[in-house]
Amino acid sequence: MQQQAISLLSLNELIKSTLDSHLAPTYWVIAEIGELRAGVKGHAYLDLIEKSEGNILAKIRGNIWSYTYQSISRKFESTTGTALKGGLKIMALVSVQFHELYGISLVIKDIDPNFTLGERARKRQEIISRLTNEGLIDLNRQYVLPVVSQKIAIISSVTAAGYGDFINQLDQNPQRYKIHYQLFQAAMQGKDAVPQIIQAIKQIEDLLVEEKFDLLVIVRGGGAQTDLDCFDDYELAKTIANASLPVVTGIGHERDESIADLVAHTQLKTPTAVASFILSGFREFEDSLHRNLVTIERRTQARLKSEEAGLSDKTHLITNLFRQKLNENNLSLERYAQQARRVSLYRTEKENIKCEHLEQNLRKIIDRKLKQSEDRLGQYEKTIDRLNPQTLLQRGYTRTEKDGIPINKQKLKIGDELVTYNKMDKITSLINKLETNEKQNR
Amino acid sequence: MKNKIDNLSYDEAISRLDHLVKQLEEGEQGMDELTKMVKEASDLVKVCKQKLKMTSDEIKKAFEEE
Repeated sequence: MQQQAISLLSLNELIKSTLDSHLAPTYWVIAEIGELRAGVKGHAYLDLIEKSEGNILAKIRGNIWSYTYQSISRKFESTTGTALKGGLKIMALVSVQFHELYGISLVIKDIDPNFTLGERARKRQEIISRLTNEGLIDLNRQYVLPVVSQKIAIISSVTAAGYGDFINQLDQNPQRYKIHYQLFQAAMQGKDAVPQIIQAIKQIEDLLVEEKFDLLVIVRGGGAQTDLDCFDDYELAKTIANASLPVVTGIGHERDESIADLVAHTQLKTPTAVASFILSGFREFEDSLHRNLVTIERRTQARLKSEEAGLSDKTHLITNLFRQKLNENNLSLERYAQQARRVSLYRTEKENIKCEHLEQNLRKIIDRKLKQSEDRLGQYEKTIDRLNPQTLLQRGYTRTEKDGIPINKQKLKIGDELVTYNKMDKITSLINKLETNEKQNR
Repeated sequence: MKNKIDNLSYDEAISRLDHLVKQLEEGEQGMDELTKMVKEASDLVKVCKQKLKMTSDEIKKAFEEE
């Protein structure tokens, strides 16, 4: 039996009419954008896919015509903060179109950005739950922030708007604090951001032994609020949580905090806020130094005053004691002096009396001696007078000698020549008769 | 002779006087010698009296000076 065949065109026309008659004009379809390419005339061409555990279960081409694409992408970006791009899960209003030559494709007429938002929130929550379960969400907060962060590792891009502001604020702080920092370059948006930021963190950790950073700072300026999905990445969050340094984020964005912010030690809104935070540490430290100085000064003054007061008291005490002692000694000296005066007066008086007594005795003795001497002399005088031959002669006595010796001192004989003295004369005579004087001999 | 007596101290003079008086008491000398001795003894008595007088005056003066 010969088969009835139709042409390919006829088949395609059949398919097209079947599809047209059986399909609704439009469907809301949930799918992931596989790849999105912009065409020359402003049209957008994309693949829509559905995946399960990494395997693609369904795939279809789609396009968005130029006029529609402009309005859809603007609305999408303003709502989600993200441009339409591959990897996003979307809910799109599509109509199925079959072209005899180009085959089947979807014409995207609208995209509901709220679905993508919800989807992202779901994914985000999933990552947060995973990080929480793995104990990573608070891990970086275990570090104690240094009081003063003087050495800072910065992950940013020199081209990022916030980086310049951040550096300027650090360098030109009015207090002229010196802050050492080193930039580790990384893309801060787009698909390269995650691997480059992770790489920069590894690089900083490798340098830690020699550089001894106090703080790791991830900063990114404000600008377009697009492509911040990288900061919701699980791997990046994990690396930040496990970092060997406290991490401070300053990822300028207006929507809810990113997951990178959640796992960081400290999250701040903008790079300049991070700079202010770092400088405030310096200021607080300086203020505390000042406070301590003031306290030290105050306590020192108080101590000095108390010591001065104590010294003054002691000085008074010593002075009083000294005065008291001096007075006591003076009184005692006075007593001694009076006693000495009394004793010396008494002694003097006594000695005086003794002297007078001695003087009287002496005078008596002298008088007696003188009297004795005078008496003795008187005796001598009388004796001399008595023995003076002239006195005897004057009184009529005579004296007779023989050969110059008194005759009563020698033996006489007849014929001896005698010399006799009287008051007036010297008489020489011879003994012619010698008799014994009877009167004397009786 | 007088000068010789003046130069004697009181004790020497007394001693000499004592000696002379003893000799006089013994009376063994001749008239001339006796007269000389009496003269010397009288002079010695005078000198001794003067010395006593001087001593007495000096002592009196010394006590009065107090």
